[in-house]
Amino acid sequence: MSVIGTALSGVEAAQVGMDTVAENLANAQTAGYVRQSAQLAALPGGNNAVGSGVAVSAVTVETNQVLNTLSQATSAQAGAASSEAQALSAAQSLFNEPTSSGLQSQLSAFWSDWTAVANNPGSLAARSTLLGAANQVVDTFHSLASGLVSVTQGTQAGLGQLVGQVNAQLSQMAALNKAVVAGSGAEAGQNGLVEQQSSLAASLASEIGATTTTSATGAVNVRVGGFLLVQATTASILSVTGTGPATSIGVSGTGAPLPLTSGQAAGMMVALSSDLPSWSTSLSTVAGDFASAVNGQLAQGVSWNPLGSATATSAVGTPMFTSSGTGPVTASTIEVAPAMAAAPATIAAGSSVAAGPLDGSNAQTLASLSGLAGGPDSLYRALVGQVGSAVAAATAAQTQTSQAASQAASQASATEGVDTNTQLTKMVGYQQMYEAAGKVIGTAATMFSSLLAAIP
Amino acid sequence: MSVLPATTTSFASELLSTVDSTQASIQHLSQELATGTSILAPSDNPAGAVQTLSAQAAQAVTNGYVTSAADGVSRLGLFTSTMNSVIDQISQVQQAVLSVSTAQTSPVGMAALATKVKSIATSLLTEANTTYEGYAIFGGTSGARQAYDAAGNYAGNGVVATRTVASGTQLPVGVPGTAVFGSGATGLFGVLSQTVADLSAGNTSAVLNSDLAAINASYATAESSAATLGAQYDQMSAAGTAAGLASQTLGDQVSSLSSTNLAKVATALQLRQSSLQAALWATSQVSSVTSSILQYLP
Repeated sequence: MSVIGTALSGVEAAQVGMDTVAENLANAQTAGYVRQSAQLAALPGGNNAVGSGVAVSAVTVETNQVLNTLSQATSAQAGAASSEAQALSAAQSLFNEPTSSGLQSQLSAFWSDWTAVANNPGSLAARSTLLGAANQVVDTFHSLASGLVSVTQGTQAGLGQLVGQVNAQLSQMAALNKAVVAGSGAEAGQNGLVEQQSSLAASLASEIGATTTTSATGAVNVRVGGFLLVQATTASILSVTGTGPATSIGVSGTGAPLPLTSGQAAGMMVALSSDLPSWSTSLSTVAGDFASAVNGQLAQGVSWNPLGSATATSAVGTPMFTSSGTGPVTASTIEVAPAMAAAPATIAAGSSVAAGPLDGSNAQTLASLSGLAGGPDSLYRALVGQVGSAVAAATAAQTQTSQAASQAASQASATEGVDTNTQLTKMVGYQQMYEAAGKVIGTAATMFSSLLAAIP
Repeated sequence: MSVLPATTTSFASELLSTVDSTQASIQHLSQELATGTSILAPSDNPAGAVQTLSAQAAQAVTNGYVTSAADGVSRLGLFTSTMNSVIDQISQVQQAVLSVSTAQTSPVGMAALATKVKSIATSLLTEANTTYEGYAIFGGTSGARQAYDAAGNYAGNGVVATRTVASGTQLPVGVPGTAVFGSGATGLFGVLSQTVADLSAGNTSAVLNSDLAAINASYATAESSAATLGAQYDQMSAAGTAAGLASQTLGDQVSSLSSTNLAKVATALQLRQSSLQAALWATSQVSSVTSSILQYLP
């Protein structure tokens, strides 16, 4: 008869059960914690057919692989959408449209000032006002161009930081894999390491869209688009190369760039490689078109020096906007021609020598360039529309994917996390089991002592 | 949602995401109310933002038309008032010349008339050299400060300035001096100085025949120019009114494109606030909902 031994195994199993309940309740609020449960199995053997008690066959982590994978995939998409939306929104706010202080209003003011010059070609004041408006337009082009550059640089810096963080997590994952593989079989502390692996996997998913697979040894392998970034205990090192549209993320040991399709890094790459450079180019096209439209019309006119005098001498119109650099006029190099800024009389308001110094018909034509089909104003409005649509699309994607991600995370947490009621119910069960097994031991002892007392 | 066991964390995270999104939309609605515009950034409504910008630009252009028309009207006002005075003075010359009679007028009377016509001629020259912002209004676009020199020779050109008052519509502002006063010996001032010379010389037949005919011709020329200027004035002020109305319409269009529908936004804000209250209440109930079994344990 092995009553005491059998009851003892019950006491021990109840203790392990209580341990899991205590651990689960302690981690009820731990993000990403997956609940554990003690698997009990009846022990065969003994002298008769009854069996010899209970044993804890394993303490398992109740991971739901389907929901986990879903949660990682959606959080990777949400990461990409939110980092892209962030970068693009920052760039959009530079344009400050539609307000009365954006570039469109300044262009309108510039064209209106041409009307004032047309109405009063002999007035120095009207010409100075026009040059003031021209300077304002130029300043706005400059600040938009440099703003786009700093958003690009900021995004680039953010990407660098993110990749640094990812490298740290990849090597941490490799270290964890090493510990898990080395300690395989020993139960103590093992589940804690598994928890850490899954929390790292979740971070990596949202950062670079990584997918993970767990091998038989317990090592977690991290993959991005066919690249094995963590294989068992070896971690690759990522590095950012190039700038702007040429930005790519390289993997140590391979020449090829990492093909990112989701995760925060992918969102930043999209902003860096397509949206921001395309906006910069469009802005420079607007500036170049603006300069050439004004300069082209000025070249067809005549200016008179000294201003508004009957004895003035005429000259063919000179450009109003030039490039401060060597290349063509862009949003960052556009400037009011220094010669014209110094001598407002050189603004060619007249259309012909015959018409005389007070003719303002070329200025009238210039004022009407605001409505030119395909002209600078309409190009700029198209750019604003392009920016607005891109940001709207990115923001909508962000809202949609982050909802999907939070729903998936919440489903995963609902199935894997700790439900206090369940745990408390189990606690009551283990408590009764412990007390009952104790009672069996006590009863057996009484049985044995009464038997011993029967012996004289 | 499918029925899944609710854990404290899943419960709380779902409620929190509701609270967050409600708060974000409350923030956007409050901003709309505070700024009065429904398009705070192009991404709020890309097509609407572009339309707003187009309408704003069109309004700026139309405001330019309004300004140009106002400038034209004020210049034409000066033209017509000058012309009224010019016509009045030419008719005074006509009367003076008609008062000459072959038999009765004495040489002294003739000399007095000559003086009178001469002083009117001087006054007319001043009218002909009327300036607006420093430039002779009858000088065309020549930039001349004086349209006529003392001898009555025209110093300006024949080009008339225009004002753009609508897309592609340029209206003339004024007439060149030659259309009113002519120039040189055949011009008004030449005729007047010939008349003065004939009056001083007592040449009554020249005064009553060739001089009077020439003065009458000048009068007719001036009157026809005055009629032209009157028509220009009417046209210009009508164009100004039309541009003003167009600007008003475009302004309405801008505000209907971008202004907040106050009633709608205020109602939406109220609804969001109620749902935020509800979500916050539910969040505060998480612990009592999920750990009720504790109450029954000894």
